[in-house]
Amino acid sequence: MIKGYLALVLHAHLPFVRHPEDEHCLEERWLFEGITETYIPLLQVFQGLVRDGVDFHITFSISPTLLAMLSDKLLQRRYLKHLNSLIRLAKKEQRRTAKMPEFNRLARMYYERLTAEKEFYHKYNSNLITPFKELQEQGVMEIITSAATHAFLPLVLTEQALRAQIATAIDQHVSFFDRKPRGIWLPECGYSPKLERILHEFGLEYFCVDAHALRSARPQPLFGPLSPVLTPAGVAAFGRDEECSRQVWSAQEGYPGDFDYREYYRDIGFDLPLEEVTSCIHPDGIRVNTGIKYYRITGKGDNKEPYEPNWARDKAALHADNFMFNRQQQVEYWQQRIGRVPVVTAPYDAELFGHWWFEGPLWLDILLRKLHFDQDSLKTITPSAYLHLYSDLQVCDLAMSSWGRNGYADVWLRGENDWIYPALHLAEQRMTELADNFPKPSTVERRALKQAGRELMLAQSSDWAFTMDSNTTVEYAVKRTKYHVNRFTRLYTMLKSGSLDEAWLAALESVDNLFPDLEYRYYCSPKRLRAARPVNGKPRLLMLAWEYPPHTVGGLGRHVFALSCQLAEQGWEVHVLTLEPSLREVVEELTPMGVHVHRIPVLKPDGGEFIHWVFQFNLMLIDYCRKLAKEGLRFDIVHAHDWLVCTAARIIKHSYNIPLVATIHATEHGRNAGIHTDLQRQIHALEGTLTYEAWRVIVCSGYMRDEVIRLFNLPTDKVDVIRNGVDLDFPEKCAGQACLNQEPYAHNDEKVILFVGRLVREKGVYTLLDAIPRILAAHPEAKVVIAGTGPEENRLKKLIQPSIAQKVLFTGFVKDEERNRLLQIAYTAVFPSLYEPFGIVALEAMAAGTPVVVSDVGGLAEIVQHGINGLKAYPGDAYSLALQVIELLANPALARQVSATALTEVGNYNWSRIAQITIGVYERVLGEKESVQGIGQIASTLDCVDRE
Amino acid sequence: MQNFVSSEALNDETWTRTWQTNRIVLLVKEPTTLFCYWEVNDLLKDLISRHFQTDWHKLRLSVQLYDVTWIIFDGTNANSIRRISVDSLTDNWYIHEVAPGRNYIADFGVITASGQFFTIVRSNTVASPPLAPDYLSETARFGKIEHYSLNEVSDSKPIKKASKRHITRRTASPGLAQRKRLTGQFGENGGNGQPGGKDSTDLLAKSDRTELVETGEGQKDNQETWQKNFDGYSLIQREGEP
Repeated sequence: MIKGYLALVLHAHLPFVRHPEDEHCLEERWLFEGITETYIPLLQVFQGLVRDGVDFHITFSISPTLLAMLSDKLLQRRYLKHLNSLIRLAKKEQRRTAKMPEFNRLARMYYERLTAEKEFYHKYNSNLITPFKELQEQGVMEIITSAATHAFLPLVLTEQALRAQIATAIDQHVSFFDRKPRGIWLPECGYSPKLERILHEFGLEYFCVDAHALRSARPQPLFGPLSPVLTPAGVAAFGRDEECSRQVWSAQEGYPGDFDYREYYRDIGFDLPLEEVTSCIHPDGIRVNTGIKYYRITGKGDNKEPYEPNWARDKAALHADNFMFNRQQQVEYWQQRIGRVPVVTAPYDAELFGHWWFEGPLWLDILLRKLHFDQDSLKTITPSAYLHLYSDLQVCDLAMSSWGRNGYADVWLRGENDWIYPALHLAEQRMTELADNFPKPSTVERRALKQAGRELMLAQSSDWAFTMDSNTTVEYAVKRTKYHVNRFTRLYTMLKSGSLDEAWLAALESVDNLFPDLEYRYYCSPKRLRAARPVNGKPRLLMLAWEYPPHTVGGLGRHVFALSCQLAEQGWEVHVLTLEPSLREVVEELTPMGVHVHRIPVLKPDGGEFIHWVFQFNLMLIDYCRKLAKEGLRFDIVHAHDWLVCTAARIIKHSYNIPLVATIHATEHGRNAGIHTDLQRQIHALEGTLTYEAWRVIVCSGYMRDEVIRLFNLPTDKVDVIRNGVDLDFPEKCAGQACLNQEPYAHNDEKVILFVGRLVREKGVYTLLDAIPRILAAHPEAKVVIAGTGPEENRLKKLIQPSIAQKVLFTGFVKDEERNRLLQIAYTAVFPSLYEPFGIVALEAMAAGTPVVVSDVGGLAEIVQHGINGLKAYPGDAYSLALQVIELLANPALARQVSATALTEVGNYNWSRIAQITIGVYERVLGEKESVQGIGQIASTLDCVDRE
Repeated sequence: MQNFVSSEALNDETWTRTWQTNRIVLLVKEPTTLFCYWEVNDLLKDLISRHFQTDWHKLRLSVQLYDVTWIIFDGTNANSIRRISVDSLTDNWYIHEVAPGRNYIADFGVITASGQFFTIVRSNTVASPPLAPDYLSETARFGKIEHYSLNEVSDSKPIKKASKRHITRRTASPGLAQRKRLTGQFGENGGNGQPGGKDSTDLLAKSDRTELVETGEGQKDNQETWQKNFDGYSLIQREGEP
């Protein structure tokens, strides 16, 4: 009766060592030793078992690099040459040891083994993949794959690089074995949670993890160590049995350390005088292992006695018996407790058998025979067959783990090898960039892309980091890492710059020739690719503005919104980069008006101060622009609004060689009537930089033009004045005031004198307060409404005398539609600003058909002609202001006349016209760029390559 | 064609640590040890030096490690923050004594004049693996169902027997103890598997540079303060403020 299963998993792997340039390459001997000592002996064992009718199941993982080498013609030829020289050596050894019987019979044994192997090798036409495939077709062996170049997957950074390692392995496996692998050997049992979705995506059913991975799984596996669990995506994980590992794996405590077994470290390649082994070692006289070894382990000391094959055979039988017995006990114990038939998973490096543990194949042979003939409680099984026994398994989260020292990444991530990861990770990202940027490569580009994939994967082989840790052949591992990274980097640079060296590429292809059908598109990112140029040939504008509706604090957002919509309307592709005030991800939207808005959050912590926050916002803008550029977007013009985006504007202009246009909406100097603090100084400097870097500076009034020219020493002809616009559409004003309900702001028989704006000093609210008593004295029916909020609000409220308190209303913050209603119900709107770059709200009042009283300052002075489309007062002069307001109140005919004139003039201030003029500025700049930068385009391409 | 390409052209052994990129990458070495490396390109170094008006090599540079387990990290809400001062020539760090079974993010950044952290680059998220519990759960246990005929229910004997047999801890594994003849050769301690000690010298050398900093509350407050004064262009000065 079956009480349990044993899943033996052998993992065969060698890194890709193929050096056409060096006929005596020492590292290629790794492959030759593997073939002679492990792969052929194991194949012979399995074939013998099949021949003798032994029922067994074994799982064999063959790494893609090993498959590539086993099928490589050059290496096959070299191996045969190597085998022949070994046979000659064994023959010679028989002569040499003629008078040493205890060695002579061993020499004969080696000779016979080697000649039998040669026969085996010939039988399969030098291709060892064929006998493996045969065994699979006979149903005794399940062949699974591993990561393409045996990368230690937990330390691979990008999902694309992980996917490419898995997908490439599967493709190659299918090409050799005509079927998909059902399981995968994760190199070094290196698991990471980011893998499971990819494994599932490629239809892999199972993998192995080390025992502690199951012990620390969450929730705790209820069936203990002898049952696989499922990851959330549904891939089964089999836990390596610790006892099996210890008994077989450990050289000190395990079976291979038995004193009767052959001693690995006494090879005639090292023991004999040089002249005896010249034919088999490196021509430079470097001694190497030949595989011919005459001693047994004997004991812990240096004294070694000759090998006795019969003693070793007896021990192998004893060990096989012990192994079987322990497994029987183990499964019986667990079977009673979990109510399922348990499976003991025993994975080993295949090279342990034969190469390191000479008697390993024999032990395996005896074990499988014993399991078949001597008992019926324990049966061998493949993991995939075990998965078919049950319809459900417990689902657990597995953490990162490996079977390396200490159980995690200690071996592959330490002082000796941590220097490789910055280069490897960047290469991963660059490979994705290449794959994304070459959707339709030419023939030679395709070759280069495939080779880049090969070089990246070869650089990723876990073997290099492993070797650096183990302190043997470190130099070779370091060299290989550097070669592959540098080959990749050169391919990357060539592809990016469009200058491929075909001869060099061909030479490289002939050296690193694995994965001929490599699919470089596995590296593509899921992101969509953007068209470098708009399909319809539209020019493309990048607009930088810190605010954009619906997120607005000041008036800038409204301005940028209206302008961007009109520019889009008039045939430009407009991308607005602006702030995402909440802390979420970047939001990208195409507004109904056809504007691409990219809202970018600010990375925190940002230093906690305003000026650092602005700087961080600019870094985010620069970063995001680089991302857009990498995705293929190219811009014709960058248009920046105010100093808050100055740094980003400057860097984008220089990095991508696109002309910069800047709009200055206000200046820190004007707002504060001078520069008084450190912060103001910094802002003033940034404003200066922005106007300096811009090809054209746009301002909204002649007043502002004079101001920026004066403050920043700009050449007069660099500044364009484009007046602001209003696009408010008010219903026609009723003939009589009464038809408009003035509640709750005023009684319907009161005449509203309206102020709208931020409550700051520069807006002149104090002047208005001073004028109120005089106005009320003349016209008691007046009611002053102050709409808006700001830092001065409380101070202003305190200044109101109780006698006039009934006649002055602070509304606080008002929403847009309320503000518009106020503009319309007002008898007159007053704007007593001390500093006003433009005064858009005055225009809005005019559009609402309300007569305005403005102070004769800045942009307001330019909009209003006294007595024609409004009235003017002296800035900061309450008496003058009161006079003008009283004049309007006393003279309704004048009020009607100026407001009518104003209404017709407002039509000139529309956004469509403003956009036209702005496009004129852009075109002028592009024209100038054309004329001064004949070769600029080439320079900018190279520049982009340098900046990755 | 190969004849024209020398092996030197293929076998380039040069190496660099600076790739002109901006990044910090966090990797897991062990449940209690993380590794991070970072790079800031010359352009960004220049911008930052200008902004903070300090030479790059004189800036107070730091790595901040955030415990972001069970949260959507927004830069201000980490469960805990550990700050490690680094100099401008350092580009990687082993962070020891992190808690197993937690999620982490690392920032590389600058300490401002007022002592606050300013992020330059942010890392990926990693999960430090949890350690296996020392004991295995005793709450989950499988028992054989005893099927009695109805009149046997009142008899307590079989129940007692059943419970005795099935209360077992899931710790012991038989195997070795069963057959003695080979035990001399197999010790109890395997060479593989168990997580072990860490590089203690490393720890001593570097621990004095790390400090725990309070969670982001202070910075949050500060930001709210300046936001009240921000009018869409720059900061408004209020009465009584410097």
